[in-house]
Amino acid sequence: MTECEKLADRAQGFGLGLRTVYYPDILESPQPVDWFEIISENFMVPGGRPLAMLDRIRADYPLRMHGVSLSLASTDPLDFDYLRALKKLIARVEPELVSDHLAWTGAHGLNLHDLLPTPLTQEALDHCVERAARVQDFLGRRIALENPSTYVSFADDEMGEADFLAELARRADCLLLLDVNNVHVSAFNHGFDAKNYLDRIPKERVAQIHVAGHSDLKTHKIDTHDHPVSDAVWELFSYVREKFGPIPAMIERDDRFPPFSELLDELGFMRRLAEAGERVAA
Amino acid sequence: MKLAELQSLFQASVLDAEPSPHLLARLRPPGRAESVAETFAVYHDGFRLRMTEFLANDYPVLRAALGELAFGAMAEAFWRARPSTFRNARWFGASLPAFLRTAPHYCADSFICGVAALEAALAKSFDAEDAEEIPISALAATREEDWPQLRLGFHPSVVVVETSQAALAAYEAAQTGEASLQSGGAVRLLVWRRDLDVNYRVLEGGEDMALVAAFDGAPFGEICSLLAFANPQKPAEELAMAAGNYLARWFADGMIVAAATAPG
Repeated sequence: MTECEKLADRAQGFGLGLRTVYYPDILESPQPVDWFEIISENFMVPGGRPLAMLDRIRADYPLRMHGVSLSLASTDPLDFDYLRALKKLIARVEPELVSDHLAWTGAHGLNLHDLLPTPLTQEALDHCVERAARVQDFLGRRIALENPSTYVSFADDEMGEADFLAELARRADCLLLLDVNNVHVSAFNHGFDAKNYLDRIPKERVAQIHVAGHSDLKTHKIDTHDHPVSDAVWELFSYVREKFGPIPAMIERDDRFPPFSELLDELGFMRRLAEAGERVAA
Repeated sequence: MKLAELQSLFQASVLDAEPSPHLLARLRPPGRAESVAETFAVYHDGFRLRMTEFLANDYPVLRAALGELAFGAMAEAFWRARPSTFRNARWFGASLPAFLRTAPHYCADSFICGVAALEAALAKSFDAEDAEEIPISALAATREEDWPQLRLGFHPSVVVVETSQAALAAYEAAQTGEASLQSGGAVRLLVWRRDLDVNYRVLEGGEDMALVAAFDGAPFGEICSLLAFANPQKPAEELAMAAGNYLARWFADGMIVAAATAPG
């Protein structure tokens, strides 16, 4: 296998979210992680340690960029200052993939710094299609949009979320980032069938998979990224791998950070599960 | 209801103390939770937790000094007065010191205002723009008659901040894990970054004056004149020597990124 093939192979593999708490482990020695995903906004700063660490890690690993502030579904105008900063970071990182969410983060110039749910209406779909296309035109590349965890849904919804995403991806010619934990959380919260949701996702559009842990409040679940991935989510992940084949996949962890070795064990589990699924599929 | 109206209603329901019944009426009953208000609380309460967490990340010593409850109350007063308009949460808390200086409940508390000012300055320096420092040898070719016109460019991470002795002691105690008992008046700190690490030191009167002037673009000759005006009893040679020493230290600390003798 040539160096280029090895790099391409790693980019197709299994990754982790890059978080500062793990910098010492990542910088100390090579880690069995094929790539890391950064939160784009964490590196949209003028300089200093964040960008220096980013450059050091980028020298050794492929990176993917995941944003939380695009606010695709907002009725506010697109923020081109933000998009310019994003484009500048893309030029620096040269990521395999740039992604954000099907969500809005605020209106009337405010930012609530949350991934707020959008009604699943034709009006919202048209709005998101138009904005996704403009974002891609500005960035000069396709982006992937992630299905969010949601805790409320709207009486005026005219379609399911999977159908909304499929149509959005088709019309805007964008990619999808399939967050399996979010499917599980939203399915529980709204009472829909997770596998039926996954069956409606166009697999040729799925560029990346997320899994993560969540908090179970019995009456509803919250996407907190502060627990190991649950058995139910691993089961859905296996279903996705069997159905969709090999797609770059990663674990998100954002709180109650375990030792890095534990996260690597969880990543190893993900690899074995995926490989087992591929053997079954074969 | 149009998308824009719905988003306005949703946002107001997150920011207000209670969600609007008009919004709740437009939401579907949840799968298992007793009421839609229970699941909407994930957004409503989560927003408050997140705003507090953002500030706690930038102001850990302030949080420790105030305690969880008072810090949460301060955070809510802050986001209500200055809601975030930033795409990047990094900048949300940058104006907290300015808010505290004018907020009736906090403005008279020099300790709280001082801790906030110090931590904001450290955060600002931490990820300020990068720039290449230059060595003092860059001045070797400067002719004697050109020195009065010498102007310096400072590293973007250089910040001068006014805080209090007690706030500084609290910050240092938090770094060492020791108790802080110090009190005292105002103190001015020089904060800068070198090799990715943020440094600080207390500014004394003469250096403070010289630095502020140099920072504002005053040439070396003007800085010497300012020092002479403030210290009429001291001989000019002694003041020129002091100014030279300040300058040498700024170079040695890696704070200087440009030096030119062209008239400004």
